Amino acid sequence: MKTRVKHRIVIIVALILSILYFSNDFSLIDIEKTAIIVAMGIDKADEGVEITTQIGIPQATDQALDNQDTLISAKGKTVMDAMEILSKRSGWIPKLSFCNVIIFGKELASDDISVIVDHLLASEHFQNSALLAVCDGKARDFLSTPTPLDAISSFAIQKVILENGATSSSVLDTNIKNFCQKNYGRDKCGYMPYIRIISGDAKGQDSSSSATTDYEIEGDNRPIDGLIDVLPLAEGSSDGGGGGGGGETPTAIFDASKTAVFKGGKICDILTEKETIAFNLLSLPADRVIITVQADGKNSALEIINSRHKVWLDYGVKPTLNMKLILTVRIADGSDENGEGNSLGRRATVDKKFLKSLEKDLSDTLEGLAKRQLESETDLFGIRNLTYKFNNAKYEDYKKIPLSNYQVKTHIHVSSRDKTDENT
Amino acid sequence: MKFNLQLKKNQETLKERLSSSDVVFFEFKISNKNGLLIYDDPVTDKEGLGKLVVAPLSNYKKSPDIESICKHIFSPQAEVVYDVDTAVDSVVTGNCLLLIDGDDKAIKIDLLKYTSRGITEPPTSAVVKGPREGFTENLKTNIGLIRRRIKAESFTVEKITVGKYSKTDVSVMYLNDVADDNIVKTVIDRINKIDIDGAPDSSYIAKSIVEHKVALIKQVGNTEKPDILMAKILEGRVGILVDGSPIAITVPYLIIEDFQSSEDYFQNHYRANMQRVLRFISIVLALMLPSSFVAAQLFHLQIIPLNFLLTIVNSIKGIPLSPSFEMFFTLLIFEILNEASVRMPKYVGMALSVVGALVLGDTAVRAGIVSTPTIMIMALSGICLYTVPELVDSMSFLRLMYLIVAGSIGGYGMVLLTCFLFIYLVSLENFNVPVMAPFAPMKAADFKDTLLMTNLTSMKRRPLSIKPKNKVRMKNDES
Amino acid sequence: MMSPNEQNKLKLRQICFIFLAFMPVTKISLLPSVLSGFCEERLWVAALLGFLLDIGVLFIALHLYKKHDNCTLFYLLENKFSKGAAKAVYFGYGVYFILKAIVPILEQQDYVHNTLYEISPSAAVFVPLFIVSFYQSLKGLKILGRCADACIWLTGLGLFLVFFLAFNIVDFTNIFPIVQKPTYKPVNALFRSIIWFSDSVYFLLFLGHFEGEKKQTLKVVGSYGLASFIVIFFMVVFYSAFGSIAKTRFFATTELTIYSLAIANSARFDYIAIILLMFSQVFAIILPVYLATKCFERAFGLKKALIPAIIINLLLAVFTVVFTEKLFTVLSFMSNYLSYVFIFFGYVIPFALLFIPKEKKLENTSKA
Repeated sequence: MKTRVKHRIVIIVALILSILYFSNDFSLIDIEKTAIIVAMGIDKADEGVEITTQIGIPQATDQALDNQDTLISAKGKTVMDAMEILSKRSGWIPKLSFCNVIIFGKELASDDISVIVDHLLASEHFQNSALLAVCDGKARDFLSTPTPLDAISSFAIQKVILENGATSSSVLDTNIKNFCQKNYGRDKCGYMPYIRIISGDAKGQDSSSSATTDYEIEGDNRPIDGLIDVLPLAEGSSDGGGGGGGGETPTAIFDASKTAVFKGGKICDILTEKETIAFNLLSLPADRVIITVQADGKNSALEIINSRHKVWLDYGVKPTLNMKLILTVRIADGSDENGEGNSLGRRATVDKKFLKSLEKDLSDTLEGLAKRQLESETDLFGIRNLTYKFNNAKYEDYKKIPLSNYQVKTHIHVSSRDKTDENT
Repeated sequence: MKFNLQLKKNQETLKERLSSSDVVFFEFKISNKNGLLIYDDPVTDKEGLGKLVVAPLSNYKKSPDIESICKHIFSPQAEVVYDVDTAVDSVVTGNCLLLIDGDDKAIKIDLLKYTSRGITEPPTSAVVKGPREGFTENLKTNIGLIRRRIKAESFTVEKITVGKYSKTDVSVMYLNDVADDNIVKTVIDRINKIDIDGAPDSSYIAKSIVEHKVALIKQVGNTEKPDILMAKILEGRVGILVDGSPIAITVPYLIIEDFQSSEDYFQNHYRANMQRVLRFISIVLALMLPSSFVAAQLFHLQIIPLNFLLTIVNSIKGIPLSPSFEMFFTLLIFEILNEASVRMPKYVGMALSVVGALVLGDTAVRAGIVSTPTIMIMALSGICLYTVPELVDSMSFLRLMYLIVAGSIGGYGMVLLTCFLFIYLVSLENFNVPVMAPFAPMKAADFKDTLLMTNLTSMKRRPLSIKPKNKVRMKNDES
Repeated sequence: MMSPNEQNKLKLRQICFIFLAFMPVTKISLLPSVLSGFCEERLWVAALLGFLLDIGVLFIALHLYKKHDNCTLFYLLENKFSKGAAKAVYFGYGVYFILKAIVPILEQQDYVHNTLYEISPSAAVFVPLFIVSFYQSLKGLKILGRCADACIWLTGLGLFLVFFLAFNIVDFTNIFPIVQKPTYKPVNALFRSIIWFSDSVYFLLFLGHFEGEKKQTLKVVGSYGLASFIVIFFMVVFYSAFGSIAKTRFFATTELTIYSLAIANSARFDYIAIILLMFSQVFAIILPVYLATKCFERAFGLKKALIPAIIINLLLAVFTVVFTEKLFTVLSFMSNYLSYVFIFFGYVIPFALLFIPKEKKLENTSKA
């Protein structure tokens, strides 16, 4: 090509790009009109769903940045319909790529969330790594609850789910991908953490039944235009901090140690804390899980430092679900009946009675859990999937066997850490 | 045009041709004949002229003729010239011309003496460890600096004159048993073909000998330090020195050369590796950071960490400029400050730094014209660029290109621009050597001294990418 | 200036790198999802079958190299049949390579529109790809070979990062049972996704453009085999990570990497891997477009590739703008109606070339 032609082409391309660059109107995002949604609550509404979005708002000072949030909710026939209404009425363009937590209201979860989860999975706007949870009450109330753990309530919820799931196995965390994988797989069953609010006064007590109803949200809802409500804020969007209760320190903390089990997109069971831990041990390698056991009237907190697990099926005389757990534990802390501590602490060998007690405890918990699930034909343990993977030749035959016909066997073995510790 | 036998006529002819006031016509007697010395006063060594030419001639008793006088004067660089054109040329190039009545020849005596600065450390290539000598504007001094370092028989210096008016001396130097003959021949041919008024600097020669006259990146290597030129000649490259320029040119050039510093070879090679990787990262940051930031803000919010995104949202509140225009504006100011600081006298430089960095930057943020992250990104990009000073020219331009593409069509545009530049760079060859070697085309043997380098003693072979005749530079360690 | 003949010379190493750097990157975006839609956990079997066929074609091409002394395909056809026949075959291959480029182009466009950009950008954002493609078309095979030299690092690093970031979500039992009753499903899956395979046919067009080396069969087949292994391993990782929902995860590389804890805790590091792979993808898309340009240049007896390069890239740009967001419509049309075209040019013609008898002595071997 002639140099002159080349130069002309370069000039034309440069001109076009410069026009695009300086005109600044080429499918761009106006960051100032963008609502960075960090969490979303989805509740059942009269006709469809009500979504509550928690939007991150930065409040900078010279020294530090203290993030605040604001909540906007809207009702629509579907999630996207509600999002569209929210966008139209607020003037904000919702950005969902930072939405890391999606909370379902209990009423909606009891109804059916399949269609919604399906939408979340298919949508390119949501990250499929977003955590899912179901709350004991209305999701909107949970997102507007001030907590001392973080200025933004959903961040506190994330911490509770992720930290506990990662370190103590006391939470069965899940995300859009994992939930859908189970829900749309052969199991047709899924689970997500069941979040409750525990007030500061009643710390440590289960207030699941009363948390949302007893908890008083400060201020009234102020409807903007029928479907949109701007809620009073957790950390006060207007005053830039402080508690939702007019400057009072918020006392609500979140608990996610229970687990909601879904079958066909509906809640069918709620696992207790113990069941959650036991099921978690059966799914993932555990580390730093602390379980308190009782034997002969004494309490001992045992820390699981190593675990191996296996779930398999046995199609012998009668189809059997086998669950095996091999745990190694050490003393986290303990006291005898006189209230004296164990002087050897973590280095002491765990008394056999505590080991046996833990074995029995876990065995009973898992057996009870499995039987309850199987009787209700809920495939929480993935029996159909296991059959397909490991007994594929006879899968078509075995899948006709009702789950309630399966027997349950547990093989739990708990041992103390390193015997040599006994003499040191 | 031949000389006349009569001195008067020759004098008239030469006076007509050399009418400049700085040319001196000095008439004197040799034995029984009239003589004439012609020289250019500012560039002639008058002391030498007196001692080496005039003094021996004053004692000359025989009947003088040019051939015998030529042997009588004390200069090894005296030679007989037979025509007026050559004589005129020799005077304007700083030689002294001696004519005698009754002889149609002249003697040309090299008594050139320029005033030049001494050998100092070059400001653009200061080192902590290693030689500190730098080239000067005097070609002879510069050749001397190299000859001091390469005392080999095969070290060859070829002299070529360039420039219709300037008649600048250009020296091509190489090791004739190492450098590729084709490259040497091509370099000499191309320099000989240069038809130009004058070459005030080596960059004129550089631009004239490359294949692609318009290119986004430089196509010849350059250095101000004799130790670097020596190392490159030893690798098999050809060095070019130009009279009046302290910057030597080396060919063939590979892009990777700019990431190599002479200091890398003088220090621990782990440290050198770290610095090379740092230089590479810096260049990528300098080139891509402003554009990535603009593209992320305009098209790809999801790639920004949430907390940083919230900071950005907070900082850009109320700023009248769009992110793309804001970055362009900041870049513009940076380039203006850069340009001004280079041109300004040193004593104003400090004031400029204060005005530029503190007053302009801080006030612009406070006035809400630009945001803090933008200033920070641009400052970081600007600093990063100077980790490889040789690439400043091309990278500044490319940074602007990336910025415009990022602001117009986003991250995918940046990917495509990179692919485009990549095709462009891998197809760029000079003296039959691709500038992107040894990466593309891949020469695995040359990887020992690229973005990462091995220990100096394990680089036993010369870089194959530049096609040396003799590939081995270090025999196997026998110890 | 390089002579045209010199411009189209490749090193055997570069051919190997073209397979290693460009072949996997076009098969790790949409193909895993499409194959899992057809045959679930046996997606890797379908891919394996496809690659075995490809390697068969590669053996045929290497056999042709030896049998006909490294002459170009055009010269072979011209010499054995007629110039007209050679031109017709090259015209056919020109069309075939354009068709072969369409799906990767639309795949990348869909990714750019729906995932890379927050707001679906104007269709024009994608058009500069064809400027790059046009520019490469004028540069020659040698430059593409050099690009492969560099892209091998990008592909390697990108894939390593993807595997590394996907590590924590992989459950290899998802691909169980490995041994199953043989069914028609993987074959059907391969037939419906044949548009992604037969990259080994590129080698036919490289004949006469490289110098033979020792153990060249091992090097070429080895590199294609390694690239195939990488793709199959990627598919195994992909299905292991997504199981029952694999068929709905269209952009496999992005999908695999977003679950990394590193990303959850800080920024989207996965984009580094995606961008690295995207560079190689751009060149992988350009390769068939370039070969189509060369085929038309020979088919119409042109001296320069300028005119076909302009026309092909312009056509593809218009096609891409018109079919923006219609990837699945085009995909469905191609797999329903054009599979036989791909089989014909990808496998039948190379197989038929086996039966061309050896000339006693070709007039001018290695003729371009």
